[in-house]
Amino acid sequence: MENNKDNLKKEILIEFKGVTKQYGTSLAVEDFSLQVKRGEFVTLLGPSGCGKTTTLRMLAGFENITSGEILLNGEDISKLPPNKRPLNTVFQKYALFPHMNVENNIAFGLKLKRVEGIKEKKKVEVVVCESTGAKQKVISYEPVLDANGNTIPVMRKLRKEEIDEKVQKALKLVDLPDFAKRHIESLSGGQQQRIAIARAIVNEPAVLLLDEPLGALDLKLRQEMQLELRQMHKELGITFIYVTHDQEEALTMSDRIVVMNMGKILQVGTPKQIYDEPENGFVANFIGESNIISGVMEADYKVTFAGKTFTCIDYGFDKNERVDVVIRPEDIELFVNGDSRPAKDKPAGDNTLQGLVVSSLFKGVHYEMEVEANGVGFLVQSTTGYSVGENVNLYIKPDYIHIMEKEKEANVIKGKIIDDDAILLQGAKIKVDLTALIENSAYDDSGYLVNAAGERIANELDLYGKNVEVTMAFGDIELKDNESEGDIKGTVITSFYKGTHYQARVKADKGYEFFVSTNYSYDDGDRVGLVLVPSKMVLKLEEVEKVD
Amino acid sequence: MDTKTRTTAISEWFKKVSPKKVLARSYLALVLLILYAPIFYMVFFSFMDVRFMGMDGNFTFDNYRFMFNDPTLRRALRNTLIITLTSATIATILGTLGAIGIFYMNRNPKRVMLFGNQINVVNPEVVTAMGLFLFFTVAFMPLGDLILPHNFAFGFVTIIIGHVALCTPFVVLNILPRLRRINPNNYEAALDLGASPFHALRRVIIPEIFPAMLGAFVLSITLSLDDFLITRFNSGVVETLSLYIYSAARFGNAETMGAIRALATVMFVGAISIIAIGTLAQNRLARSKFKKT
Amino acid sequence: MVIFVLMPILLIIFYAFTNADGNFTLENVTGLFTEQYRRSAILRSVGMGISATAICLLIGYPVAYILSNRKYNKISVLIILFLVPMWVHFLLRTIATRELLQNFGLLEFSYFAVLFGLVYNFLPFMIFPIYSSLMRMDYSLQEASSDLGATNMQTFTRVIVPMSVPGIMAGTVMVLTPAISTFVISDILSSGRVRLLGDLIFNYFEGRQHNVGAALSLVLFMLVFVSLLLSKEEKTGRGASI
Repeated sequence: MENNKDNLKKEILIEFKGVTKQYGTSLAVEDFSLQVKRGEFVTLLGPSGCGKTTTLRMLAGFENITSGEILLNGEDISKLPPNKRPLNTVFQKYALFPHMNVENNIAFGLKLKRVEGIKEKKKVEVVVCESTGAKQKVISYEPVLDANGNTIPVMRKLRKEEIDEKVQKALKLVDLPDFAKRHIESLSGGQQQRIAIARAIVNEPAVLLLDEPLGALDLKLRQEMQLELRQMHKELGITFIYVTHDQEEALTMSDRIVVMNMGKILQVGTPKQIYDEPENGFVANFIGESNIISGVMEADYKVTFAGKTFTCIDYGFDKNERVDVVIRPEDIELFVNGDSRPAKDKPAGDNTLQGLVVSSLFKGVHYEMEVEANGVGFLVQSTTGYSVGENVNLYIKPDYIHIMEKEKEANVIKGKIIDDDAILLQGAKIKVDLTALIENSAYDDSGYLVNAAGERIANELDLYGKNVEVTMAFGDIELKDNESEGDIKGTVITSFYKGTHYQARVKADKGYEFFVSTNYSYDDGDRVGLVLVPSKMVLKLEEVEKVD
Repeated sequence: MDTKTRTTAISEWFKKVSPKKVLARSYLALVLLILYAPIFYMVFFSFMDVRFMGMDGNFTFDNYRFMFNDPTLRRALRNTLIITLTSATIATILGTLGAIGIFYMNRNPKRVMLFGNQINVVNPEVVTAMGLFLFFTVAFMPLGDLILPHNFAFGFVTIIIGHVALCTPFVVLNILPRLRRINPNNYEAALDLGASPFHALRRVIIPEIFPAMLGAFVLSITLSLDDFLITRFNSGVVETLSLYIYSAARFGNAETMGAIRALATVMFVGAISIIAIGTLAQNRLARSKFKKT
Repeated sequence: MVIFVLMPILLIIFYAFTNADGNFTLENVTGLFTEQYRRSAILRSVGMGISATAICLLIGYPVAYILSNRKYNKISVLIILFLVPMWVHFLLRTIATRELLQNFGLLEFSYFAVLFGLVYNFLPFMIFPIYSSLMRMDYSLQEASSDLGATNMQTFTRVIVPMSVPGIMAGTVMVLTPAISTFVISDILSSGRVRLLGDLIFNYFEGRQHNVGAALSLVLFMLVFVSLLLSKEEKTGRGASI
């Protein structure tokens, strides 16, 4: 067991622990936790402004972190300046030094490097070739010995010949062997890109960071470079951390993808996992286009949407639980009555809808069509085109129906006002600040709610007994192992890892199901206490319908 | 507070205000101090009734009163205004046309013209002044006699020509980069839409380079105002501000020296206000642009 | 434009090689080297100009660097403060310098006073081009350098300084040219005790010895022309390697 853990530790090269970056009041990256294994190709994927580049820059050392830790080989590197970190970056716009030629750009890092060695003396001999009489310089190195005749260990610079050799090797690797003396400005975008990669990998970094390196290249070149980078990753065995907003790029290149939005990790998984089992609507939408339809889980393997019950492969949901159904446009098969379709595909449960083609567009390789069925619009991609106005059948294979839990963004709990500063919530009396509900109100010295004139207003407004709606983010509720320490007691129903933290579903004894973000894992059935932070509660008076 | 927390508090403070930053800022402050010391010195003594600065004296507005009343200074000021505005306007127009001409030239003549322009920009003022003087003596004097018998001498016209010759290369240098940034299709599009080349120039090119023209105009004004040598070599009997200040510096009495200090103060305050207004206006413009998008 | 550019220069050349009667002579040009008075003025001018330029570079580079560095300077308009003095008439500034130096008793040291005046007057010419070349520099180059293992000092010497060379060149030309050819600054600050090329030209002009003045002007022009060609050469030299 111990051994196993040690092995795992060795395997993990980089670890982000709750890394947060704050600019002024806005959070660029929030509570980022991730482990990257040695030799892995990990892609940070998300729209611009999602915090992926900031995360990379924090790893490289260009941005300070506000809180958290970044471990490399188990050591915290987050306080080290970039030049002390054994990582190298390929920059978005290459950042090649325009005042140096290709060779000097690549050699930049090598010339600064110090390696362990012994003290040596350079010796230059001029040898005259006997047959031709040509003079040739021969350079050799002799160790300098101390008084006892031992070699003297020093941190020495790399020799010119060593540097030249490494530069040549790097140039060969990026397929530009004859470019050493070329000037940077004379290179095309694609060539500059390759030189930027060569400049980074020549230093043999532990990790190569790539910040949207292919963004400026045209499509064809980009696809070419994707393959080459992938190849390079295999050959070199260096860990790659790759940042992109291009989902296709992420899917084709990565071992694992980290999908980010608004500074948070939404999902971590292999490209297949991310594509096939998006954990939420954002991921589903961001990774290719998706149909996301509201549905109801009738039972295990049975889901109803668009007015029809389908067979699917998901189970474990509550009966009649409202869910989101994700279907990829290319996973919907269209056929018209009379078309012959292989019978083996046809499952027992039919899984077919009747629809009408609303629009149809040829996209070069496939047709993109909008089909309306029972009031629900489906986006369909197919190599066979159907014309607008045609009646078609939509068939969806059970494997292609992905069920997501309906996304809950916050806990919304109903409560009752029972005092000037307290509400009854799930059977517990919780202290709250009610001034937010009533304009111009305040608490007087004895704790009563008063208006601007200092008069008590609770009775006048008939406050007691009024219903309120309390909204609380998942992260604003704390879980206590000792149930009596909490305001509300409950039982953990499920708990799963969200890439950065665990999300627990806790059923309160009075029935409400809380979603709570927590750093700890809980077992199903654990008894816990829930602590609600009053300052984080958003209160709203429930609208009472007036009966006139 | 015990010693430990105190030392950590101090080290925290030093962390926040890194010694490098303190050093860097003190350095800037020192250089600024040296740059401004003579000017503030002038400003201070413009309110003193002393012959030489540095002497003890009493507060007074006399220097300003003298500055506004001295007929020579007033004449010099008026002449300078005429010369500066005229030559800056002509230089801006000529320079803009020249820049547009150079911009649309073929490669080789363009390089020659640019190099010629460059020479003029870096050519020492004294050389330009000398050259112009010789030029006027040789070429213009007899010619002038022909056109305007007995009436032509060194004066306004020669000074203004000199200043235009001084400023135009700078105008060209200011306008060219702006021209390079214009989408070349704009001009062609205007022609395509039926505009005559002149109309296209006026409606498409000029509005785009207008900010640069404005900048060039302001630069020309400062160059012309600051010029001493070209004026001195080619002025004839015309009094200008530069000549007035120079003679005051060499041979001035207490009153003219006082007026000089007052003049320096007025110029300094004027420069600060213009720059402040300019910066504010620019910021507002940038902000309103930002809002629109 | 051609008339006002080419003609004066041709006339200067013409006058430099003729005497007062308009006959060809080399006297004026050879006089530059044989007459102690003129020769020493030329050497003094060049010496003063180079010293002033070097001092401006030494003082101005750190100023431009600090101003352009986000770490030290968050107020982007601070650069304007270094330009405001330029708006005060340079004669007035020079007079102010004279009075201030006099008050500190420094006016006695004529060479120092003139050097101070040159540096004081032309420092902004050095700061501004360097500042704008540093501001144009892509910040990611500095990041790339430190990413590749360079310390801040190494980044400075290997990336920042080499990349600001065009700014340094421009600043040098902009300071050196007026510093070599100055007339007023040396005249006012040394009361005529430090005679530079500019003073000589002015004096010969006043004394109506235009031919000698033209020869001296020609020297100045050649100096500037050569420095301009050199800076061009440097650029094209680099371009040739492309």
